[in-house]
Amino acid sequence: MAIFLLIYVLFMIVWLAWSATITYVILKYHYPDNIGLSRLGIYWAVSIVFLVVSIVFIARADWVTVPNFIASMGV
Amino acid sequence: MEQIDNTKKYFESQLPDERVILLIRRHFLAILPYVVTAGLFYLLGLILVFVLPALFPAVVSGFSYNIYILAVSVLFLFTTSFLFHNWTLHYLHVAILTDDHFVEVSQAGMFSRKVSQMSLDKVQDVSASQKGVVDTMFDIGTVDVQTAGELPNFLIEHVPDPSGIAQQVMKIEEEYCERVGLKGDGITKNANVTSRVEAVQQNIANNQDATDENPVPVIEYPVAQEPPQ
Repeated sequence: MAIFLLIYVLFMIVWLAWSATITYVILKYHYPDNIGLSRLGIYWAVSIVFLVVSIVFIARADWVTVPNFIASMGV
Repeated sequence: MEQIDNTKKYFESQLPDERVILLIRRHFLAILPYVVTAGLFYLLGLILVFVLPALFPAVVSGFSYNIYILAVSVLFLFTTSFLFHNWTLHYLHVAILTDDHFVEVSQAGMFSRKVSQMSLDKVQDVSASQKGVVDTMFDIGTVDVQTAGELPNFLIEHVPDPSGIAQQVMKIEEEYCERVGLKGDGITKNANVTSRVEAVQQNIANNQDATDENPVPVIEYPVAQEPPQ
């Protein structure tokens, strides 16, 4: 059972829902000063970096199982 | 102070010819606790990425290293969302002074928004207060816009230059009242209702003593013009 992959997917669903909510609220209520939109752009740029990093590492670890993980720690 | 672009709309119920004069946003220090919390999580992430593997290479290696970096990147992701979530609430929570209205947009949560609006003729008094060392050092404070009658007061907290804002609100309110004719002949708009009641009461009292030979003058009470819609 790729438990880490499952946990990761759950985390990503929560994060995506959260980010979509923030984006929706900013797009709906932002003021004409453009600060909201520019910060939203920065937010997504930074988030995508972390997202790509996490995807890269989940891709490398997608076959890791709990027993293997524990064994890798020398327990 | 924010730059105002009056060719664009600032709040949902803004009238086409209504001019925004002041956009009041809370000081950055109001969200400092969230920034510090997020900063601590980022610091924790950096320690986990750079310090811990160097100290315990046996633990953070091989299979576990991938999971480890994955967990840290998820931590960074959620910390960024936490920070931006709180910044969004800070950004959307504003008070707007127009040439007709005072508007308070309260964004308590992502789906919790309240827009309170009142005509400037309802403003009775504006006060600015500062409390504590931080407020005094950074010139932050609370502006309390007191309203006439049963209306709730508008309390805008953690705003920069509260005295300046209070002065400007009073100035715009006076200009508005002069424009719509709510002030004049030494009768202020807020004394208007009181003056009318007093005038009626005085007329009743005078009429009780009046005779045909000795009529009493009728005291005319001030009549305010209706503010423009």
